Amino acid sequence: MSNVIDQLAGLGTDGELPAPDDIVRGDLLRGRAAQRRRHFRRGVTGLGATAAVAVAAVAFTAGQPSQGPASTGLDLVAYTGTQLPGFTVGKVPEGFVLQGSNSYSLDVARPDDKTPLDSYEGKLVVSLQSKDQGVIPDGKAVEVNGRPGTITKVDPTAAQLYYSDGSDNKIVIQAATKLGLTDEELVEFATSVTVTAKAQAGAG
Amino acid sequence: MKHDDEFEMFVRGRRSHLVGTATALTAGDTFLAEDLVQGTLVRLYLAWGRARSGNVEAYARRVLVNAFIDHRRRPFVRRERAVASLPDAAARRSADTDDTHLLAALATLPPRMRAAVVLRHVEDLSVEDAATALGCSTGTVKSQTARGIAKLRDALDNESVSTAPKGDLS
Repeated sequence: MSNVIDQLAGLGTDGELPAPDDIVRGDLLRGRAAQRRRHFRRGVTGLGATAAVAVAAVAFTAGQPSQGPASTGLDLVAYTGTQLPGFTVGKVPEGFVLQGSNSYSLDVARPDDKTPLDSYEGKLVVSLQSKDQGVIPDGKAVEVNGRPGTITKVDPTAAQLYYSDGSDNKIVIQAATKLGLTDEELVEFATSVTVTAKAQAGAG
Repeated sequence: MKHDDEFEMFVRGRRSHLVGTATALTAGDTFLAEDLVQGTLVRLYLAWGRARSGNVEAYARRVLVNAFIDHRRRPFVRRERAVASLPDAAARRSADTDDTHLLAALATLPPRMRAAVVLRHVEDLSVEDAATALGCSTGTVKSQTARGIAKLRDALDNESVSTAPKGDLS
């Protein structure tokens, strides 16, 4: 009855067709979304320890009490450089540049930041909410351009601002706590953001 | 974008094969097979740097097998019971209706035994490669495969004696 083995071999015969583009794209989007979630969770967890050490070191060496992350003193300034596809910004933290963008996010980072676009440590990151985003976590109610928004602290090292621009665009901006932006400054940054037609929401 | 390009190339070329393996593992449940493959590819994307440094396909296969076995361990899945006689048709079948009875027989095998049979005789892997995918010894692969094949033969023999195919089995 080697017929059973022959039959089993026949089960695998239709597996060599190339996957269609839309299926491949779906897998890629799910992978990217999972990576984003991982960075959101983990990114700044490691950074938290680094930031805490840095703050402690400054406090120790200067002989002054730590004032927390807000004392880093970054100010928002008008951005006059080249805009990138996906999102435009009117303001950036002083000394920061648009590091890069793809269809899903725009990274605002220090000029010497060479980390990949999907690494969000120490950056301001603008993106559209995932198509599969569930309920927005509870947080502080704010107003962005006259519309309601929510600032959440998903972990101690990053804040996320969720809001809508009045169209179908639901935007999320993540700011590393390390940047020292206050909630008001995060909202001020958000008011300067414009979503372009090239922006896409991720999935997963 | 090298990471994404490489991943896309792998998915384009090997996804259908993974779905075929998953369909055999799930005994023809194409919806579950697709879920398992999607989960596998997400894990593969996240671990691409590590996976690409070795055998990507073997890595993906191992993740898929683990996902299948983990799925079978879930409480709501464990409530499913093996039955003495084969159902008229698998709940969901592959496009090839000739596989109906074989898939139904596969569904009666415990998950690790089924995985061993699929890896050896559907995937045509060596005993060593199947052992790597299953995370067990080659001896275990041999014994699980032999017992699995024997069970399939018994199930299919009983099926051919007790029931003839009933036309539209969907």
